[in-house]
Amino acid sequence: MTMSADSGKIEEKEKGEEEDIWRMPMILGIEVIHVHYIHPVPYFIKSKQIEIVEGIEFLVKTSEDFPVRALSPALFVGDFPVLDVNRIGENLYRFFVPAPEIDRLKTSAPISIGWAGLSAGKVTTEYRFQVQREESRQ
Amino acid sequence: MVEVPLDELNLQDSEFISAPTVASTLYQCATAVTVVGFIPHADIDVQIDGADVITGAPGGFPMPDGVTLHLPSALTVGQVVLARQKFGGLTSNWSPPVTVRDHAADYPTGPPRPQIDPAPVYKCGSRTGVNNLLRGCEVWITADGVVVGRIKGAIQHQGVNVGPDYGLNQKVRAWAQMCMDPSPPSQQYITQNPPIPLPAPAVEDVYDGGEQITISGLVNGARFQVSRNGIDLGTGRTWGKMHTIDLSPPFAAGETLSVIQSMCPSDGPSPAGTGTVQPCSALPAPGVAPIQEGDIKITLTSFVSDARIKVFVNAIKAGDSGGPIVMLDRAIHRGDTIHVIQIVGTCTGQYAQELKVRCVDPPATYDPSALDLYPVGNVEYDGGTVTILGSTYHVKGTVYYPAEDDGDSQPFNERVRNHGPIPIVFMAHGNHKTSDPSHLGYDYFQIALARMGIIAVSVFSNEANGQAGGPPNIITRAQLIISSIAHFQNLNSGGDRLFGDRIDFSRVGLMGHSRGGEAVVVVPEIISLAGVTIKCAISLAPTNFGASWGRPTGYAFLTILPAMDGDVVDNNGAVFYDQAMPDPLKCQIYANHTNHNYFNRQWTNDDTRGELPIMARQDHERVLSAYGCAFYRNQLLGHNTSGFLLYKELPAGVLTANVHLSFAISEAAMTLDNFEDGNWIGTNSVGQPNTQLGGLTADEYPFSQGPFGRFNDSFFGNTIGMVTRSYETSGTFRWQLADPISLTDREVWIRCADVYDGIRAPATATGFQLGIESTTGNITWVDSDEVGGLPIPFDRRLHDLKRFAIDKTKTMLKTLRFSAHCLQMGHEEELIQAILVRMNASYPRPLAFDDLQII
Repeated sequence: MTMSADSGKIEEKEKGEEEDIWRMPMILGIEVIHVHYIHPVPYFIKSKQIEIVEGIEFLVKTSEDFPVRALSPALFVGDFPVLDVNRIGENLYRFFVPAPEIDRLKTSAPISIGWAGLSAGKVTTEYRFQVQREESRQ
Repeated sequence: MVEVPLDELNLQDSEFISAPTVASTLYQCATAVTVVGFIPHADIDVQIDGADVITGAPGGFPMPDGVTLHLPSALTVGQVVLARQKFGGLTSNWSPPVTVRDHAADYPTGPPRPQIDPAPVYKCGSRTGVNNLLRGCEVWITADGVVVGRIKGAIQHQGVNVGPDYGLNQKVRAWAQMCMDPSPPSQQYITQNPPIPLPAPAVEDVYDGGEQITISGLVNGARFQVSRNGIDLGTGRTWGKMHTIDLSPPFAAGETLSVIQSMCPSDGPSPAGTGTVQPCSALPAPGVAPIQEGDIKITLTSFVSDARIKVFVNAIKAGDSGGPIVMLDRAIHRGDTIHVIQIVGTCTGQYAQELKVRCVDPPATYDPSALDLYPVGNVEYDGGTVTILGSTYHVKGTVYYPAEDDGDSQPFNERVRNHGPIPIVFMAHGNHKTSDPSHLGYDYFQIALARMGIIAVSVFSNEANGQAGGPPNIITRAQLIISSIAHFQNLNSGGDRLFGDRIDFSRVGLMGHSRGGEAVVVVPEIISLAGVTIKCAISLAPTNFGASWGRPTGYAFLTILPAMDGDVVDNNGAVFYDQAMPDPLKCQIYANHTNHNYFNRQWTNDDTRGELPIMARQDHERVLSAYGCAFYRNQLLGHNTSGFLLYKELPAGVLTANVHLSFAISEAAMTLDNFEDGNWIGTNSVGQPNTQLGGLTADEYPFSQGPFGRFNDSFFGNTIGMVTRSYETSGTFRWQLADPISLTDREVWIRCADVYDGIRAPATATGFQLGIESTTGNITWVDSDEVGGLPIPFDRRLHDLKRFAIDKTKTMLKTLRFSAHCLQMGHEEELIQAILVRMNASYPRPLAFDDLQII
């Protein structure tokens, strides 16, 4: 009698060689909201914790998700980089500028999308900076 | 290094023979000493505390293990042991003395853990190699708990014959003791079936006149049978891979050798491997490791095992012994010409290896990650949850620690516990797919640290991974590291079974990769846990979203920058390095042919997408393991391993030709110019005039991205430095000192780089000369090529243009050390009043300089 042996292939771990981490989604829409916090919320500027009562929120609709990588996507308002970003839904991202830096956003400045810390790979969008609505939050 | 026909040289022999070397370290209770580096068949004398204890012992052959001579009584602490050789009527000097030490002083928690090497072990195996032993110890092997072999007075890597031969599925371990002090057991191996069919062994090159053969391709534990000209010479046992045996009489050209190996009798022997003795004319020149100013010995990298080695300095014999180390009769100096030849029996090789002595050309000494003292336990920890910036995260990860045995949840090592609390390192991964357990990717580094006595934690940060980004994401990662530190503080103070009272929080290290590399720069800025001192941090391929103040201060700092980083293409760690304070040291490793991901075993994709020639994954890991362990050993354990970070020695097993170091220490005697004083190019940091001569032009520029006034876009740090341009080979820049000083026992350090022009990387390297000007006006020049040289900017242009349309090839500075021994040659008594650089290259290009220091 010979011992039976199971057989089969291993499921190779997805290597991701094909993924291009420089792939930049198209920007399909940007909504700009001036958010006022009724209760101050904690925030960090550099590594110093502060409390903020307002900020500018950019809700950015994209054609696809950004690739997951070390560098994060950045929104550029003129030359000012908006680095704080969270994915809040499918192809939907929230970029945020806290109160101390709001003044650096110039009305009508062109908005482009790129990578945090890099001037490379920046793509200009058809959008310009303009607050579209005010909103108060708890 | 070049091979030169011997008959073109006029080498002068003499009656000098080198002293052999007493293999160290010697410990109390050892009953034997091992002597290496002698002429084959020399007689060996051994002296202890001035008394002759062994006279005229036959040395046999110096390779592979030298000669181990048993002593009339065991060694005691403080005894001084010397050896000398006698050959052909000549007597060497006594060797450098070796003082007997107490192993308990060097290894207070017991002798190091033996390693079964090579592994694995096989059914029917008859001999096992055991490594990592203290010389002179007792070593034994058990199979299923029964002793099957024992040796007293072992060497560092000892073969142990076992009897009976191993069976299948036996649990094999090695054990050792020194002065009745037991080591931990080795890792346990389960015997496997040997390979079938057994491969044919190979006979390495043998030459006319030789008396040793080296057999390769042997299976662990095999018996091998050697035949010479068809006559069976007998059977030996081997731990496998390679085995050297002595044969007599000496070989003659054309003789044939044949070897077969066998394991289990029922499986039959292997095919025969054969070799033919080559004529004397085929004997090559030996290979020689780099040598530098002041060396008093040479190390061979390839040679015939039973060869006599002669070394000539400027054509005069200065060394005569056996490999692999030949002591010289004098210190050698920059510019000396060295010739090395080998002689096998009556056959003298027809070629000499010729090399020039450089000012600084550090040797590869050992692997700082190989310190293996303890078994390693591991466990997953769970510290509950923490709320960071309004979101909830789990505080968890993996931890590796010195244990009683290997494996999950093993008890903490008893002797380590009794000896006192030990340091701890926290590691943090970066952003990656959340489906991958990124925190498991540094297990190799954690294990290396744990086995040398450092608890190594890898923090789970996957809940911060994915599509979030920017400074708050880095802050979150930093808070997760701090939360894990707090958790282990609680375990330490709360009587935890594993970690209660085991951890020394005054010795905390950090390591972060990618976004984790930025987070570890943030942690020291925001941590407020009482009783925690961050001693050091490694920032590996870090991002820089601006979450920190960017000035690592108050702890030792090491950043590793992959030159082929396909993600963090700006190598942002250069910014941190430039702004870091050397507290007490800082170091930057710019590693060619490394990418972003391959330091983490869970990050399987090549971020360059195969578009750049990267080194293998294990070679990435070697960079992190070797330099990282050297860093932590130095900063957390107080070991003398900073030389690896300061280009004084090279770690064995690392592709160091790809590694370019910048470094600084807090003990600099003087910073002559760092160009950051706001006093322009005409005045240096000690307020003295700088002078541009011989057609050279120079100015200060921001060495960073973006600022007004930058030289070009190839600088990625955050400092101000100098760029020189000269179209004449006489172009010179001179720094005046405030007061004349002596350079004796000092060094001159300067950071420098070949400036990338933004168009194409040059085909050949350039360089410069550094000179010192004495108060009498003498100037001594040393070329940058003699201290390590300027690398060509690492070319990544094609990849970058294809991926994101901007060339990120960099001007990346490295630190060169100019030894005073070279700079002062013949003028040691003179004081110096200025330091100069001269653009002497035939094809001068702009060169960048920064941080001119006297150390």
